[in-house]
Amino acid sequence: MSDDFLNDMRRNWREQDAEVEHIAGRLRRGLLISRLMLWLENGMGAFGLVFGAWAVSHGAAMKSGVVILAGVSLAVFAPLCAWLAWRARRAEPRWEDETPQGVLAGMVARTRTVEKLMRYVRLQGWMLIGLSAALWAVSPTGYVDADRRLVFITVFFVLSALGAFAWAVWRSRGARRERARCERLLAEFR
Amino acid sequence: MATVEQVIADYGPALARIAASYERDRGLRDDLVQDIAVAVWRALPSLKEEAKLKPFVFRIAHNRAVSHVARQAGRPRQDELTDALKDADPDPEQRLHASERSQRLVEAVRALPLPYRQVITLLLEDLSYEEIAEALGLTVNNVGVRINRAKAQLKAMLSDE
Repeated sequence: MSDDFLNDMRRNWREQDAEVEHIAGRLRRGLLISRLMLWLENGMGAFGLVFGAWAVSHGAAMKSGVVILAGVSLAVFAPLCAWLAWRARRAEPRWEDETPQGVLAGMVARTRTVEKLMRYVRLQGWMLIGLSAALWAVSPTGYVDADRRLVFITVFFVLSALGAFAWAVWRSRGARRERARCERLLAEFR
Repeated sequence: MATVEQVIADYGPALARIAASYERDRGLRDDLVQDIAVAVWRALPSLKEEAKLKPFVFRIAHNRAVSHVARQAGRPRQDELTDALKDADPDPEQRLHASERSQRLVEAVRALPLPYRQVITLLLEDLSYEEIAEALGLTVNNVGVRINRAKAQLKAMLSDE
């Protein structure tokens, strides 16, 4: 194999640059947005904490339970959301420490976890349907009144269960497809 | 300490070329390059030796791209070659030949099995065998073997066309 072949390939490889010449500008803009989002996330968390604390003290002075409750909610949930977002980012793979095989093996493990979770989702769906059936089954005994409320609750349960089944099927199929692709790519390394 | 702006200035086009070896669709490719840049930005504080910045950046790029391929392979793609040829150009004929040669190479690289594709893209980006080994977590010998096989497959593919 001559070096001419490699040099020729390198020249042709760089010909793509006509299409990627604006990439640096686009990347800088994208990063700016990522930084802004991170700043907003942290800023909103801090703002929620401070404003929530202020609302609690103001509500206490006004002797208003609603304002106190709103303040506590804000002070708790805004930082909690920021913390959850931080946790989600930390859960991402450490791309700098991984190998391609490690990335794929991690994705296979994740798809297995998703499938397991979807089994639990289906189980919860069946529990909702079972609970609805049980409520109707005991209604003749008088423990539960067979009124509009029971109809509303059981219809809500059944619809929730059907929604959960549909989502679980869709998500499980996606996870299976993703795992098949990962396993095919892993096989290329063997 | 390297900054992400410096990485983008030095390696932005290379990252886009690496992304092109994984993703044919232009929109998805732009998303992939953006994801790689964000991953590099988040990982940069963990870089211990500045001298290893190049393999560090390309390691992240390939790992992020592998994950992208595993997730996106089932989605429909658009053929962007026609779009590229439609672009305004001062010398369309010359541009067409250059674009065709480049496109043939990129398509051939995309057709390579993943282990060969990774080493050849890094070789085309002027990384040494040692840097490629560092980026992909391989031994230098293994890199040499893969590069030889990748070159042989590419030669066969490009001479067939």
